[in-house]
Amino acid sequence: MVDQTALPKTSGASRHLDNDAPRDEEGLLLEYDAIICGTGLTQSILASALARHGKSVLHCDTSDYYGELDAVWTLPYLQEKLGKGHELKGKMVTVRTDDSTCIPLSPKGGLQSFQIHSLERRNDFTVEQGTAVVTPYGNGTIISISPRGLFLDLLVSLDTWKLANGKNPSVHISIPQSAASTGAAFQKYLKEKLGIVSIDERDAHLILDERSRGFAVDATPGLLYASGASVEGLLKSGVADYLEFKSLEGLLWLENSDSCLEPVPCSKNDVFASKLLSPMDKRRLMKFLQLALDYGTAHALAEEEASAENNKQVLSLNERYLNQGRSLARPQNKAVLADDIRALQEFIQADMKFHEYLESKQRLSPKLCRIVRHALALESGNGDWSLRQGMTSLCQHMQALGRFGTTAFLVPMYGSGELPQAFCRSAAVYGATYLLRLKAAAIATDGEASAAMVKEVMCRHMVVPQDSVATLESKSRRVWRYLCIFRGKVVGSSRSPQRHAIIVPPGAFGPDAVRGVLLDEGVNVTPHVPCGCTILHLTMAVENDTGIDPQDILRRVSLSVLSSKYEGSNAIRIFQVTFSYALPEASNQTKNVQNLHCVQRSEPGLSADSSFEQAREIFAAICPDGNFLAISEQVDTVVKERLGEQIEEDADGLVLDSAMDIIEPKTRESSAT
Amino acid sequence: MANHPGSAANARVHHFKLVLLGDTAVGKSCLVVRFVRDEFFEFQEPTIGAAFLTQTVQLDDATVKFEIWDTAGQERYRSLAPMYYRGASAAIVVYDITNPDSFTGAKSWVKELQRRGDPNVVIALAGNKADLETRRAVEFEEANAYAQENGILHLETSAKNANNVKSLFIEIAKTLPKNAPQPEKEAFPILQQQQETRNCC
Repeated sequence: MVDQTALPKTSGASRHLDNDAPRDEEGLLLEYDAIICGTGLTQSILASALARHGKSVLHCDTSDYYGELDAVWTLPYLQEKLGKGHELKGKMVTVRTDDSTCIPLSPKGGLQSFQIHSLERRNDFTVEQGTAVVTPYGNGTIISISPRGLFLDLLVSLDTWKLANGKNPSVHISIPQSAASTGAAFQKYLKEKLGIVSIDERDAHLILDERSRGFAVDATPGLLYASGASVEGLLKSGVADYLEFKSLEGLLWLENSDSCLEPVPCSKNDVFASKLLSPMDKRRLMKFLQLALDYGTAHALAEEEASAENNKQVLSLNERYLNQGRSLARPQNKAVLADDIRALQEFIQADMKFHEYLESKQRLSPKLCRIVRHALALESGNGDWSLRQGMTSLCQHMQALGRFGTTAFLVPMYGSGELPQAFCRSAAVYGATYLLRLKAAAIATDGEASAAMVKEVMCRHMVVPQDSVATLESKSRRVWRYLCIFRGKVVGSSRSPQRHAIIVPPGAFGPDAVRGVLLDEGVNVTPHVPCGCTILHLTMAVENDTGIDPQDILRRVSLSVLSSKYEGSNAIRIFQVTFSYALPEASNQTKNVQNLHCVQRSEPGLSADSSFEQAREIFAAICPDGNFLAISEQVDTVVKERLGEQIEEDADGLVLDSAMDIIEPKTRESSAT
Repeated sequence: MANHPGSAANARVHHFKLVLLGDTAVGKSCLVVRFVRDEFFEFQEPTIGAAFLTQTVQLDDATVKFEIWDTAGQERYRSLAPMYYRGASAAIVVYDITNPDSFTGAKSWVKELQRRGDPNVVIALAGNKADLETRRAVEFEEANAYAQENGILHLETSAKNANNVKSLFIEIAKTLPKNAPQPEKEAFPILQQQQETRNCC
């Protein structure tokens, strides 16, 4: 048993878990260890880590949904609320720490710089010769539209019926020319008087109106590496219990506007099969990837040795190999000479650029060099990466290969906006208080709240999104997001899942790289409709005031992706929206305030791993000796007291259950034979 | 408590996610604690650390295992995340028969579920604190009529004297479709990796 009185005051904070902590009339504590504003992924992970460590947490958001710019929206929400500029209602809260300034917070919180640029829904469907249509008599095709006297003669072949002679019946419909002389009036007459609409229009209506609640639209779609910080965090925090994933089907490369989507070779088999590369390129790439893996292994081993005291399980080099992506790290693949790794480490020490190393030291062709930089190492940002950065990122990708499925990435079901919600729930389970629709007005650090402020809550630490305190400078970067909903498929056959990431290297359409994700009903982000329906997300970070038109670039990329369809498909775009938000720089005003932590949005990459890293950093600043996302001993004691032996019994029960599940089908099979 | 499967040939275990909804202090946690552990505390402390509890219901022809999710207090300031009730097969919407506001709250929860939850979710409306008959403020008939109108189950329960608590879960278990074909299970949870086997050359 832990003697509460013997503990130092700061760590005795889990008193909030009992009912006797002082609270105000609304049930809020008079003082919190941490107040977190904004429910973006970083803040949500942090809230979970702090709550599990035993800190009292008040977590609030100005919006009426979780996730800020990491949210998942329903389609009606996106169309109605965000499209019209959102109105926020709620009370104001002032927060006090003990210093001597007052920092106002933006009423829109982390959405301060969010802006919708365009939002369109396609409604120019027309019926003409050859159009597949829905008629009151069944589905059909327009054979001809020909004038005859004062009438227009419409001939429709009905595909859903078959005559005894094997032909489809057809109907003739006469339309008075006076009633429908012009194009628009003719279309209107067809639709309203005759009930004939194109199948495209009917499907668009089905998808965007009748079944629109089936959409889960991510504000910033993020994938997870199948191994590394994010998966570890999910497991350690128990949040993995709330979520399900599917593996990404493939990584696609879009070289330029004239080319098609091509699979990126990630594994050994991919490299052999790839049509992107020449035989020479293939050999050089294989050699380089092997080197990268060996480097990664050596690097991880060195790190592990450094923290050997804390880490009880040091894996041997051999075990490390086995844990890595099996596709590349088979023991029979001869290890690259230690000399090559040593040379690589020297170049890293000498601060060489990543691309320079690939070009001059590995002698990769310009195209292969681009593929390695942008599709394998996922280089981003506006400057060239250093060799260290490039190798670290490349190794992370390579090590996550072969864990689940064919790529290194996991796609969360129902959208990546489920992640912040799951972490917030985990925080709530450990006692954090949640308040949506709440505007935090200002941070008062001198204890002098102005009369206009409704309420004050004290805290030791304060976490806010950078966006809500920063004044935007024109130099800062902006994230441009484009998404469209289309009917049909662009990858594989008519039944293939659309669950792919798309890499567009810088220079292909504009100076900046574009990242894309294709997602369909397989991960429950689009409605399950017979005609199939897919979301294409595109993301690009652009420096302000450089004279380029991000909207135009993203639209052209989307057109290239949609026209890159497989034979016989017709991908029809029925809805599209463009929005953007800023990536503000750290401001001096907040840097000097003690215990104020700003969450800095990093440029969105393919994976959401950077949020875990940032949350860990802020956690370490608040709890220097804490174990990130683990349950502290104190909390564990409280939980055990509350739940008794329930949890352990249950774990046994679960093991037993799953064992029964395994045995049962087998016994059935054997009894059947 | 429950018989273990395997004894009867058709005693297949069916797993269902069940969520609790309802305003603060209507006795959601008390219902679960009564059902799962057959205990009652007048001043139930907030449940810390219980992501979800599990309990089995034995029916004549099947075993139903509930994974019961409590709100973890997120309903208090109307801040429940949609993720909470996503994928739930059943929901118990709880109100307090001595508090008419909580019944209004329950109706809005039912609406929310019908709007955003799984289309086939089984909803049960539970009027809790039925032991406080003298302070009743929501008539049984009124709530029952509302439940019938919306095609949902309705029971009045008392976590304090255990009245109808087990029946509530049994009614839900009976209503749940037990031979619905399981959707193609391609999605997976992330599980702790086992230590790699060490049979390397």
